[in-house]
Amino acid sequence: MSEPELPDDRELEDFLAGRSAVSRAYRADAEQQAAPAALDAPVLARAEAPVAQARRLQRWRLPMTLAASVVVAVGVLRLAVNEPAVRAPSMADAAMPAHPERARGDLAATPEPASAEAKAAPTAPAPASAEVAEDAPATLAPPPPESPFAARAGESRVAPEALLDKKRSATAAAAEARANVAIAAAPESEPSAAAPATLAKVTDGFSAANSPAPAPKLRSAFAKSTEQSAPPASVQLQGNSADAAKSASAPSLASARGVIVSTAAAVAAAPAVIPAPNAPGRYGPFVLGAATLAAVAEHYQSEVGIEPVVGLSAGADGRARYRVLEYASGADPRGAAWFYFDAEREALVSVAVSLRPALATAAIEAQEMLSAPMQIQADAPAGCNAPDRPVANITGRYPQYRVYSQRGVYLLLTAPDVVSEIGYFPPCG
Amino acid sequence: MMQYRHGTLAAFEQLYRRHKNPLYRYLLRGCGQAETAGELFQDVWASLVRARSSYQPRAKFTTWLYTLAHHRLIDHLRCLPRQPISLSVDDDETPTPAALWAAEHERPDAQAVAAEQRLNIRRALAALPIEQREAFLLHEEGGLTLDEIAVVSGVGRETVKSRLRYALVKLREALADV
Repeated sequence: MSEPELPDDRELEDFLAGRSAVSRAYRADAEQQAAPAALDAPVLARAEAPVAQARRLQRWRLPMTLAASVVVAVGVLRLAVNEPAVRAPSMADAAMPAHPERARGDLAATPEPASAEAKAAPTAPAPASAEVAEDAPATLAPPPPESPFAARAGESRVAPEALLDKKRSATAAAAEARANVAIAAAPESEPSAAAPATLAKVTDGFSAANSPAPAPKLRSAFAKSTEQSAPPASVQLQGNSADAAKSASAPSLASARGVIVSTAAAVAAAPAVIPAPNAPGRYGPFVLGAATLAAVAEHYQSEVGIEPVVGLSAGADGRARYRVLEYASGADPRGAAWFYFDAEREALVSVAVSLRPALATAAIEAQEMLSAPMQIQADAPAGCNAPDRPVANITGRYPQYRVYSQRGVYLLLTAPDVVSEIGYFPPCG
Repeated sequence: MMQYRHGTLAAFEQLYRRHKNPLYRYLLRGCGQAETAGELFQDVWASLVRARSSYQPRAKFTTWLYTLAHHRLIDHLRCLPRQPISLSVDDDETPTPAALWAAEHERPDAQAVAAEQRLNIRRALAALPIEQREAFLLHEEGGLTLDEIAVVSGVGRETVKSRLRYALVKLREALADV
């Protein structure tokens, strides 16, 4: 008996391709035999069960998620309510990244070392450069917007031309820095913004002279205030064209169309920043050019209780003669005051206050609410009618002066930054 | 299958309708008993339903399905004492001859020959060793290639070819006897 022959590759390929007789015979038999229909239901039911379960879970997923979130949130809230010790720091840490007051304290703490240093060394030398002098106020308490400090700070930012005249402004910057250091060093002084008001109360009308002991007290207060709190003058000012024209030949910083003169930088170029009317000076209740001899005498005799010393004074060239009221004591706590009246009209044409002792320019500027001088000259006649003014003959004693024509005020300086006399004048012309 | 994995029951129904008859025959020819085949059939689909979440389309779905069926059938046969496969069910399911006006191959004499051939095929198939029978059924019912049969059976490709050759010899002899 022979072994049956195994199919070769071709016959196997025919089988795999479904072309063999065996395949045809098997398929003919298989096609008539199907799976019982009774098996469909249990199989399909078993297949549907997990799908339906997943659908139910899917349907409840969102509500269950929300419910779980609510439960967790309520639990956390109840914990927070029942545990205030836990709630406070967590809420503070989460809601307030930086405590505002603490932040302010941190910021405010920055200038404190400078202030403390200034208190410890009130006579510390002023910085020599203008940049340092401009930085100095920034380390102090910020001034109110209406304060001359604000204008000064603004000028330092908007007047880059100041750098061009750094050499000329160095002296003025040093003076301002010294004044700022003095302010910071004053242990009992009031804020700088209050200093002008205090001084104004002293000088305006000298009403305090009616008090039982007004003069020494006021004088002491004035001296203390002016020595210890001397904020720098503001630096921006539009010049008066007439004054500027008259001072064009002098080494002035004025120009015909108006100038901005900085005590810190000496030069700025922002015309019409501050209007500069050629207003009359005011001394106490008196308006220069309008007040009369009788009104002034009556005021001091009846309201202040000071008897004036009346005399005559001649003008610089001998043409003018003036009636003079001298209130050497008590009229002005800063020193002796002379009232000059037109000899014919008897109108108040000038008031000169001889300061005893002399004061710093910045202190006077702060006291008189002056912004910046229109002219800074040395050994030259002052004002629009200088030859006719009583102060014109004293240029030898006061080699320098500052003209604030917008306020009708002159400052006469015996040395740089040392004011020895204040003059109040009516408008020019 | 991926659609069914994501919850589409209709996709499963489509798969089931496509594969239920070949799978059932594979199991019926493999175990030889309709009742056992029915149980195995349900077990295979149940395995498929359970494994749906981990199903990855790395191969044809048919290959995966018949792999499940092969494992289930082998597990069943291993639990049985060695005995020849019964052909009682197949004998009872002999189709009724068609009418006289039927086509030539359906005429009574032709149908008698065909019926005898199918009976011989069934007998010869039942007499094959399980390895050869499985290889033959995986190709005929599952439409698997040699490589796929090798994957399902866990043997080499040449082994599958050898098994098929031996199976074809015996089945061819069964047909020649008619």
